[in-house]
Amino acid sequence: MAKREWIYGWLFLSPALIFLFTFTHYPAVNTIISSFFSTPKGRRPAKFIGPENYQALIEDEVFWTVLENNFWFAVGTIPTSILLALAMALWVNSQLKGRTLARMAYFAPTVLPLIAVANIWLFFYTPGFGLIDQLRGGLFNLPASNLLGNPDTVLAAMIVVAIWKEAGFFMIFYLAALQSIPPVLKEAADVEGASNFYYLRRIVIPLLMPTTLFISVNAVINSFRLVDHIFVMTDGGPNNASSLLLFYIYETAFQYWQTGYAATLTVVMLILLSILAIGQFFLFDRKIHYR
Amino acid sequence: MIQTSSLPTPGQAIELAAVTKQWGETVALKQIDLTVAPGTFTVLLGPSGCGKSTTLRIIAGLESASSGTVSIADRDVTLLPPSERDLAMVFQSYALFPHLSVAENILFGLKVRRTPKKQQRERLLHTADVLGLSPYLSRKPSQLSGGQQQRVALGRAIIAEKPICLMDEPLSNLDAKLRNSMRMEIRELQQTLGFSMVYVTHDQAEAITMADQVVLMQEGEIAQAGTPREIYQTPATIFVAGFIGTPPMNLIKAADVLQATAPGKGMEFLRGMHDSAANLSQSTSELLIGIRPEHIGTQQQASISAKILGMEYLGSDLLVTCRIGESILLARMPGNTEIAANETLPLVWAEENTAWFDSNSGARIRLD
Repeated sequence: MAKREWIYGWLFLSPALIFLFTFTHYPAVNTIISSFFSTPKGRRPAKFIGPENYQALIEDEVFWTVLENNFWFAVGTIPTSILLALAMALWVNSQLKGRTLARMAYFAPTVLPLIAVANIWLFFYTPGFGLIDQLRGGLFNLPASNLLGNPDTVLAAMIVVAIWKEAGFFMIFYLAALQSIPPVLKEAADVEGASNFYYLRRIVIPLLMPTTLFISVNAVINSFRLVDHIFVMTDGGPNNASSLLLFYIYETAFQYWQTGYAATLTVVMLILLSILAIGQFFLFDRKIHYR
Repeated sequence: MIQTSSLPTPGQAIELAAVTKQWGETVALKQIDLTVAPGTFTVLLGPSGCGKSTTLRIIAGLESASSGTVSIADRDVTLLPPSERDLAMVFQSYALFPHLSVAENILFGLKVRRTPKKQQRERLLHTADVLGLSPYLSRKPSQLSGGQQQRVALGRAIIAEKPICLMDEPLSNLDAKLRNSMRMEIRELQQTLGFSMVYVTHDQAEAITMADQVVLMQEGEIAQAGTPREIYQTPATIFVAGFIGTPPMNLIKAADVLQATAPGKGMEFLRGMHDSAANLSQSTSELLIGIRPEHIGTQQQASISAKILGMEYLGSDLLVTCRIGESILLARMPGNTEIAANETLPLVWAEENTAWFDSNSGARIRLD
């Protein structure tokens, strides 16, 4: 009997286990191993080269540019999209006419494929006759701009697209969390004379902390992961000004076919993400009340 | 059990005049008139959906009246938000803030109003002492038992010593034993602190034991308001008679009783009462006799014969279900009464315990 239960246990675990091993654990371990090998070519197989790839990485200027880009991309997207998500969630959670429509509208960017939407954004940013230049010219008589062609503005333009994409997605989590707060807490606060702002600051935001942690971990991961629109809109240019780490990894691996070096870059990204996620858990842990 | 040294807060009067509440087509309250005297304990009692909670929420200002006025201490507060009505409230689910400690929960209102820190500290210690919460001040609500959570909610309500306290079924989530002791504590607290209390419950035992005034509600209307004794002894309608008392008053067809009454054995008064009641009601509808189970006795020589349908022995009491004509009635007799089953039971009760009702209007017919 005990033996059969043991079999059942593994049977139930196996679907998740198989997929996790095939698509997460095995590739991750394999990547770490590959990062110490040279890139295999037709005639010579990969050979062990020790930390050589890592030395190349430290000397690679593009890597440092891309890392810096990614840092500013993260700083630009994470806090803004979280704050925007919270504000939108509070708004569509209130008694509001057509709030189903408002919720849907905010969630739409998440549902739409980013590749398709990037094309629309590309039109907004088009110099001369794009939406932004039409408004600039029509309303303020300003000259045409090339936001995507200028290394100083291209990253900011990418950040705007990412925020637009992310905020609606995070809003859904905040909305769900807000709806799990019993309305009677608001009534109790009202009877005691607490203002809406006081209630928001002392009760709602603390109760949303578990959601905020979840969202912020996701936002950090997404700030590295979300690169679809870069393919369509800038291809990392001009002069790598809008290239992010994952995009650079893709370029290295599948355009230059330097798979060994790409594996090294991937390991660096994994380490970075792990440190950030663990850091967030420690940072938030004391302030979070889990129900 | 509860001792407090602070001076009683003078309670304030509450008055509802012709208050109506509607949600679209649904009418929740129909022209409610209600007066709560300063410093008294009023219980709103009734089955679920009768409008008692809505009434309380309108007094609190959490719900607005569709028409009519709400006054507190002769001040019209109909349009004021809850915070400007100077009252405290305890919710059925306690509404404790789960991420705040017991101390922070109790102090919530004082912190909102920026009461000086020193005063906050003093009042907190005093309130915690009164409610026996001193050892738990740094705990979170989830680390407390249901009864302790209930006390925290009470603490939050009484710490500011508001002149009015509203409670919405505060004991319904507690077990029976705790409910009994909390009932006494709340009553004692209200007496010592002297605030006016409006308390909603569906439990008549709570209403009868705690209240100065019981307001029994039915389908958005007040069926009867009065002291617990008045409500119990002289129910104004069939609804009140059938709601109050466990088991409630028997309501039996007068015709059945008269038919089963043999002349000359102590129950002759029934015929006379019936005639006066029939005159007073001035309608052709049927008359009902109301008699409480505990007022029915048995005697060898009694004149109403009832058929025994069943018996339930409760130790101190014996509940006998019997039938007179088509009417079923319940008699509560002393536990040591010896009755054989399948026997015909001769019943007797006193004239002053007999109530008469008009079955059509549901109203009581007063013979005096």
